[in-house]
Amino acid sequence: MTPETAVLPLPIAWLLVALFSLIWVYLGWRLGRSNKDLDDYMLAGRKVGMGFAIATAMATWVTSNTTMTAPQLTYQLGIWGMIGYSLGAVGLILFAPLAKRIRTLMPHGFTSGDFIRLRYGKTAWRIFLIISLFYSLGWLISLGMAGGLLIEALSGIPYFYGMSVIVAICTIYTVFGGLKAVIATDFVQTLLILIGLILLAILVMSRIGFDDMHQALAAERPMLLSLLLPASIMFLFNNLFFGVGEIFHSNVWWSRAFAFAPGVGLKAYALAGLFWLPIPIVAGFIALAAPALGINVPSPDMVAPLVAGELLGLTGAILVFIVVFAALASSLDSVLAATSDLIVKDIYKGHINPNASEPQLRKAVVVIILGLGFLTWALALPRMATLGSLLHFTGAFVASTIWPITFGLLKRRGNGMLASVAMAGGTIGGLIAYFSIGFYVAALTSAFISMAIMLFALRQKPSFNWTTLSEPLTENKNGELS
Amino acid sequence: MAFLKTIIFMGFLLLSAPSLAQQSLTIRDDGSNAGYATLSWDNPEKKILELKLFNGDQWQAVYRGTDSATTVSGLTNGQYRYGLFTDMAATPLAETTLTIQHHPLNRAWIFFFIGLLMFAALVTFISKEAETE
Repeated sequence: MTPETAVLPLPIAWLLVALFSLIWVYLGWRLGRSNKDLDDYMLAGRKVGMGFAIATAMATWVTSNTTMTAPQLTYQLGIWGMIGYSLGAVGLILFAPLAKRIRTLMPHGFTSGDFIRLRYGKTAWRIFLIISLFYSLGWLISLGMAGGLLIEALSGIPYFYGMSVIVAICTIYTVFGGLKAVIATDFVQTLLILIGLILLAILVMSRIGFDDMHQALAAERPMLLSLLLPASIMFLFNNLFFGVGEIFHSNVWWSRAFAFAPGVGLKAYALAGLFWLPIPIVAGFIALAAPALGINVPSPDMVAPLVAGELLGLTGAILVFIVVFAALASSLDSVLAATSDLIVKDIYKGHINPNASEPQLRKAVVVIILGLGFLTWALALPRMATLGSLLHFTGAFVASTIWPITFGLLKRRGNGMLASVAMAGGTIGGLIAYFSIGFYVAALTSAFISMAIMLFALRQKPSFNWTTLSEPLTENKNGELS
Repeated sequence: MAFLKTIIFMGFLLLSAPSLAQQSLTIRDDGSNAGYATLSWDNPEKKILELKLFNGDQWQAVYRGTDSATTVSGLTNGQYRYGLFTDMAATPLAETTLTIQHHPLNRAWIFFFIGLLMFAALVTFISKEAETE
């Protein structure tokens, strides 16, 4: 794609980038001014209400992966690819009761790492941290890549420039505003995503008929219409467990469970899941129009913006740009904020400087957000894989945490040794499946092995004391509570 | 002197970007067990090139333009012979054969039912009361 053949003229593309960049940075700066302490900065004061809670859960889960990888998987795996992607909603819905329990069990908790450390001990905690950080980095890279690919597909602006601008903008406003800014921008971004997608769906339906789409697919790509495409049958539950693994373990969702006011988490996560369910289907459907339109798709993760641009012209290109830019920003900032919390609390304070004062922690958060932003940029530069395959590679890691976390939250059985073996064994099994069979079985295999190991916990006697999780605030040598 | 010029010229040729005459057609993002693949080629000068599929009888156009890759998907089991052509050329600059062999259906159903059972187990597990002290 070059600027000469692109749908979105260069000046308009740069204008949109500049305009939305200014809006997000301004919101971050404005909201960041009211942060008084670390609780405010990291957990928005632990009093986020229902409206903001639903919006942030939904906007964070509508990532560039939803708007760009769902069409990619539809283009590669057909109808089941599209439906399988929407099963990612199950993760949010199943996390709803767990979010309520997390808030009750850990009123002073900060991160998902806190839970693993208190519930299973240090070995499991360290394995968990490696898995979680690896996943977060994979997610951040995929978001940066999606930004670059989107801008290149629509405007012809080289990948390097688009990716660099998006990563830089999200890093800057996350530094300014902390979780409060992230949640507030998520609210605005949710509205933009929903309105944009509804408009896009209406425009697609009115411009191209089902008959044309079906004929082109049946003639050129018949297996995309087949409900017996073997890889997509395998993919269906794989994607469900990938989504469950992402949500159950990631500090992005745990930090929100801690940040939501008491009683909000259960309804907020359940409703966000239900609202999210149709979004990948709408986004994925767009990809099926590519063969009928005779569009060349150089890389499968570029299919959505290419179709929208070709089919809907300048208006469509602007709409897609706004939707995906909002989706990208809402996730990139959330992952940056939650990952920096995890690194600060579990690695910096947990391993390097246990007596760190609040100003030191606050400074560390900023340095870590900037460092993560830079690392994301550096690793997204070479475009190592397509979005779909990069993302599902991390599935082998995260799905191994589903059963240790679920057991840990609901049962008093199961110890650190079992949880460590389950996470390590599941990850190794998932990676073997990824390389020997395909990306579409990595998470499923990982979760299955992990479950088989955790089942041994049922033979143990209930011994864990739940009050261990409500660890009181500790006083450091400066007399501060943290 | 002429010899030196020839050496410099040949060195320049070796270091310069690959020309169309040295063209290769490669398969990347290989999903041959799932019916998809991305075919790519070099086209730094953005020339108009044509990717064609041999249907056993003749070459049929798949893509024509200045891009340097295309993704094919939804293919059934079989061998697909692709060729890259310059405009109006009768013989391809480069060729490759993509072999699609889908996973056996029984393997797919095994993964499906493992997933279904594990999902039922997870829902049951979460919906039960947590163990109390």
